[in-house]
Order: sequence, then C-alpha cells, then structure tokens
Amino acid sequence: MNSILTTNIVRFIVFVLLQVLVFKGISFGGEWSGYFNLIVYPIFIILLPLRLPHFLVVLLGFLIGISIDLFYDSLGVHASASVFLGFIRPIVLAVLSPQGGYNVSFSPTKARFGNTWFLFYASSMLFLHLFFYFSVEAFTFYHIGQIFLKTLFTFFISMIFIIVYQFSLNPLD
Amino acid sequence: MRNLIFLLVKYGGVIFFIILEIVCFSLIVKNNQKQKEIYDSNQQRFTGSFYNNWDKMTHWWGMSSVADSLAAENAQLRAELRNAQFLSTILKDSAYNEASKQRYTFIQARIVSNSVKKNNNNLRLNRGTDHGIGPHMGVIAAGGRGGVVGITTATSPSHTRVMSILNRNSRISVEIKSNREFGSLLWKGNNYQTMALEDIPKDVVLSRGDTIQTSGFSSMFPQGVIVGTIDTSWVESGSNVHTINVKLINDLRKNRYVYVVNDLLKEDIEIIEEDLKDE
Repeated sequence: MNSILTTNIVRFIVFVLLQVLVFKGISFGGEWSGYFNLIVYPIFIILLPLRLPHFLVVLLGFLIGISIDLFYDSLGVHASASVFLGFIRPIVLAVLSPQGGYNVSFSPTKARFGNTWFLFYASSMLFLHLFFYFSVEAFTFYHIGQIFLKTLFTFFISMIFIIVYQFSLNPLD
Repeated sequence: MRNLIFLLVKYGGVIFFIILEIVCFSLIVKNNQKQKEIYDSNQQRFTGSFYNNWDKMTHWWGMSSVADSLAAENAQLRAELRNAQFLSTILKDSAYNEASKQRYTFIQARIVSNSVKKNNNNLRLNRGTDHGIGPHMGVIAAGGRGGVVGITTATSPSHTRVMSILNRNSRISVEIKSNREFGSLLWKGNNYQTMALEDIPKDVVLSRGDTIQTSGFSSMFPQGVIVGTIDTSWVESGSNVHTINVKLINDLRKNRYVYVVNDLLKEDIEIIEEDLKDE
C-alpha cells in the first residue's frame, strides 16, 4: 500500500517536471509545430490504482492539470482536460473490462494486464484527454478539423513516449 | 458522517467533476486571452440576440397602439375627401363658386370578432355609442384597397355589432363604375369572396373586371367606395336581368381595421323618407 502511494507521489512529481521542463521545450514540425505537442503527463491519471475512489481520481486530475497549467501559462485548460480524464476513467475501464473483471488491488499497468489491454486502455485514455484538451484550447468547434489533426499528431508522438516508458521500466504499479 | 463518506464514494466523482470543470472554465475565461475573447463574443452574441428578440416582441406589443393612431389619422383624411363632402351651395352664373360642407365623418374601429363561414355572419367592433356609432351606419375596410364590410346593427357604449355583407339579410346599393348602372349586392352564402349583383337589366353590356362601387343612394356609404369587380355574368333564360358574380376586393377573413361611416345629413334625409314610409 505504502509503496503504491510513494510510487504515485513520485510519478506525479516526475511527470510534472518532465512535462514542463523537457516535453514543453521539445519542438518539431517547423511551421506545423502547433500540431506536434508532447503531452505525456496524463499517464499519471492513467496509472492511478484501480481501487482509488472516483472522486479522488477526479481531484488528482485537477491537481496535476493545474500544476501543468501554472507552467504552461494556460490556467484551467490542462486542468479541465485532466478532470475530464479522471471522470471518464471508470467508463473506459468498464468498456475494456477483461473477462473475470479487474483485480482491484492492481494498478492498470502493462505488467499487470498485458500488452494488448494496456495499449487499448492507454491509447483510448490519451486520445480522449487530447481531444478534450484541444477542444478547450480552441474553445470553439468552428475549427473542428484542426482540433482533430492536432489531437491525432500529438497522440501518436506522445503515445510513443508512454510505450517506451511502460516497456523499458515495466512498473508493476 | 459515514453516510457522507458513502455518498462521496458513490457520487463524488460526478460532483467533483462538475464542480472542478466549473472552476476550470471560469479560470480559463478569466486568465486566457484567446478563450476570453471567444467567450465574450459568444456571450455578446447570445445576449445581443436575446435583447434583439425582446425588442421585437415589445415592438409588437406597441404595434396595436401605433396602428390605432394611424387608423385614426386615416379616418380624418378620408373625411376630407371629395366624396365625403356635401355641396351646400348651387352653382351661380358661370362663376365656379363651390363650397363644400362636411357630410361624412369616419370613425376608426378594430374588428374584435368575425366570422365568414356561417349563413348569416356578424362582426363585433371595439367602438360604440361613446365614439359616435349608431345603428344603420356603413362599415368600410381600412387598409389594402378598401372594400365594404357591413352595416352596424346594434351598439353598446363601447362595442358595436355589425351585420357583415356576408349575411343573407344584407342588401347594399352599388353601381357599375363605368356605366353607372345600379343594383343591389347580396350574398348567396357558400363563398366569402363572391357576392351576387342583382337588378342590372340584361341589355346592359358588361365585361369581366368592371369595377363595382357603392352608389351613394343610401346614406350608409359615400358614393364611390370600391366593393369589387365583376367575375362572371350570364343571363338566365326567361330572365330580363343579369346574374352577376362579384369578386370582393377585400378579404373579409383578413380585415382587422375598419371605418364606420357617419352621415351627418342622415336625419336630414330621414325627414323626407318619413312620408315615404307612411304611404
């Protein structure tokens, strides 16, 4: 229990720092750089323990989002997306529920539930997060095509980092 | 306390989601220039269209009083027309010395109930004896191209019942404008846009589209109020008058404002009609 708590606190700090110190500064795509963002911090919400009460997931989503916002100078934009992600997480989990259900003492990691399941789970979560984030960032559905493109490009490059992280460190929790 | 925790675990996610999203969005529109501008412009568009519609609505409420005042003005103007005057002096020598005196005045009124579907239709106006309306006064349509509406039958201080021309008891003296042949206009029922013109001798030449107007023979209508046009006409075998269908110029279903014709010389005429009744 204690190790799970520590892991998550460390993960929170590490991913906030990684996001704002490293990923925020990485820019490529030239004039298309607006379409290629590296947004990896949602992995913190994705990997929260399964037995954590829903309201805490939502609250932690708000905390990490607002922390990111402080550095991105976009107060509320990331927070709204990660609050949404925390809210939608039980629904995604219910949709992807494996046969026999979940062992609620686990965290939803690749090591616990296997490659395929984790890829499905992480990519759905990340995609939902990014789509919500870019919608709020645009603040109108007038440029819906642009929102989709940004979501798609950002999703692919961010997903690579999540996969590398899970496969290289392969954390249990 | 335990219940509270239970509730928090069960519904906390939804509650926190709603509260935190509200917090986030208020932070967004407060702190982010671009989103703030979009929010402001949308809000303005929303409230703008709201106020616009509100204005339209209140405009509509005000409309009836505007229309009332315009109708009153029209009634006044109508009274100044030539056919509302009475030539009081006769022509002397060759000098063109005509002086006219007011004969007709017009009282504007609004139709508050109407029907066109019955055999004997009646209307009700929102003016009555308080406004100078009495029985047996003509009622003509306001707006559009004019037209005749009916004849007043009963009055109360603020309302008047009008026998519509679409009433089997109604009989109005009219003439054909081009040749001044006169006859009676009456309603046979069934069609609220068609009336029958009777008493036109069969040797009178008629053509479709001839204008029918009031003759001015009765004191109810001034001469020359347009009633309609000849639609179809034929001579029944063995008859020596035309059977004429007249298409009304006004749509009695749609008329809302009318003028009640007040003949100032009515009593004057009634004096000479009196001995006619005795006979």
